[in-house]
Amino acid sequence: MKHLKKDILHPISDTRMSHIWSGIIGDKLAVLALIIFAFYCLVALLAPLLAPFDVNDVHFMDLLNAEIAPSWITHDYRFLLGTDAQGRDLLSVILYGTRLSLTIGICAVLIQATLGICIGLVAGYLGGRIDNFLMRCADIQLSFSNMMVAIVFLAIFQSLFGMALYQQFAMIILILVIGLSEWPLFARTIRASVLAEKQQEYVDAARVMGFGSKRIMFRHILPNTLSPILVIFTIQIANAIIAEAALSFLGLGMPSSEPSLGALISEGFAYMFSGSWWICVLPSVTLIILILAMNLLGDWLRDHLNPKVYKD
Amino acid sequence: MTTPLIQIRGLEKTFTTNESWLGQWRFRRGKFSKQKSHVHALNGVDLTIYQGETLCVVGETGCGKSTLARVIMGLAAPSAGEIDYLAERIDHLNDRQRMFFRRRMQMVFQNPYASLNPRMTVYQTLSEPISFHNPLFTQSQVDEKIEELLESVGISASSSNRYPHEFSGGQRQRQRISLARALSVEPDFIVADEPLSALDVSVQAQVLNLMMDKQEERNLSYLFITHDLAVVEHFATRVAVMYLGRICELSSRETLFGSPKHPYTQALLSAIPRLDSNTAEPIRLIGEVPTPTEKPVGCVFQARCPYANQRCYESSPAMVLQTDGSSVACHAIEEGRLWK
Repeated sequence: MKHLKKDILHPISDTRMSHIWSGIIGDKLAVLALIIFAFYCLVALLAPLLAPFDVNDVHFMDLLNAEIAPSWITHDYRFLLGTDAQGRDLLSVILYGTRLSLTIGICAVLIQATLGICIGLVAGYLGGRIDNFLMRCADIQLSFSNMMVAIVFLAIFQSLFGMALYQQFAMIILILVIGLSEWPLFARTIRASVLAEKQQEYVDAARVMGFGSKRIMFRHILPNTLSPILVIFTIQIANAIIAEAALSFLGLGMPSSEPSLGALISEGFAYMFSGSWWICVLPSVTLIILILAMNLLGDWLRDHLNPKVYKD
Repeated sequence: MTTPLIQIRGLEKTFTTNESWLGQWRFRRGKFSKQKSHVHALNGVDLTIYQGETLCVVGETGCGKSTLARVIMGLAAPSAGEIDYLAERIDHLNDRQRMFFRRRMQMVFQNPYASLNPRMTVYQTLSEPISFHNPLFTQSQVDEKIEELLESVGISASSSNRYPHEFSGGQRQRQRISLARALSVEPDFIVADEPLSALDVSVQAQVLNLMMDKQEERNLSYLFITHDLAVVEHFATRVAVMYLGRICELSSRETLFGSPKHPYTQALLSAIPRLDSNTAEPIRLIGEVPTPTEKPVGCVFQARCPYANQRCYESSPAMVLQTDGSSVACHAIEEGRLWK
């Protein structure tokens, strides 16, 4: 008799992913942002195949070709987007720059998220003194401007170990600096959700079963706090890319032999008023579109995962 | 039936209200003094639960019923007193030492929506404790066990891949899953903290019957916390009446409903709405329920008791065994001031 029930059940099986998916299809702006982001990821991944020139080639940098305007002005179809001051093909450099910027952004946010999630979970679940201590650490970290921390650290590193060593490890150092300086944002958000989830009876039920704190934190509480993480994750990638671009612009980021978008903008800026606007403007436009798409995606996710609209 | 399973002696639980270290300082009579405020949730509870019985704990909101359940299950540490499981003391054990008793004692919670993890399917919810407590089980053994469990609580095994919110049966199905989870480690003692109060009346009976069936099958003992006296009358072997962190009357179901002795129990029972009788006028208790922020002196019920005298204000009554097998903590009954 009891089993008959199942025949009249309506399986309302919408898991989070399908919920997000059905929502994104209905929103044209979100679709556009997603397509742009996917395009950027694809381009970044396939940069070595797509780029018309091999950036590692010795002939890639040729001062004879320096500062050639984009093809629609000069009708020089060798260089589609023109060349920069060192005679490098701008399209190839932008492709590789996008690849670098995205890698740095995503890796830095992965570090932020790992640190922030662990610290936030521990602080929220264990509470008491540990919570106080960790949150005061977060407060201290937040009271410094991230940019300032990064600048001071990078400047010290460069003067201690010299430019040569710095240029060799520039990418890893940038990822670490950006990644380590913004964990409090994740930690605080996670802590707040953990404090709310901790009151739920399923946590008590898990404790009664005898599960350890680690298992309860990661297996039971963490999956219930994923919505805010997802939102911050998207927006933080954009922020990390901006931070990297800003640092590169200030001359503390990627070396000019291996330029990211920020480094390209910085380099091109010097030629802005000598008439070679494209060296600065084209990478800027690339960067702006990427950041805009990321922010749109993040905003849309935040609205869509709002618990008032979306439950379970 | 007569072996004591759980013995509780002099159990006390005091909560300190959570104030920051700055907030604890008070300015009083010209000087600063540090003080913390406490809530005395349990003030010396003595209770024995026998094997195979259902002990119902009744009492009004805030009398410490849920705290009692949480302290027994080890979710909160007692401030004083002892809890024994089959003559082994368990209240001071750490998590690792307690592991054996986790399998023997389980809990069913009040809210069927909050007590199941919304991100875990029924299968995950059940398989986790089974494989955690039986690390040697193979996958197929775990599956078999889950199927058996689901079948035994009346949920078809085919729905094991659903999430809790996907059950159209809602509350009833969820509370069945909760029960299945508690049974998954094969306990012999289950604490049920108001498992029916979040359910519709039509559903309550089904869950209650399921619990009774399981009790018969597995010789379970229940500590059943409720404020629904109709459920108590249907389900209990013995009943403990709690008031402000103390047990004031403990007797078998028939004795309690037939001849309630403690003034509070009498008032409580007279408040049950009945269709068949129009004889008893409900006893009105005058006065407010005292807040448990100060440790009570004397009988806990003194402020609202119509029979209170000076002795009730001064000394706390002990549980005294009556001729019909019930025990009551009341000076007035001891002295024969109260006829019943």
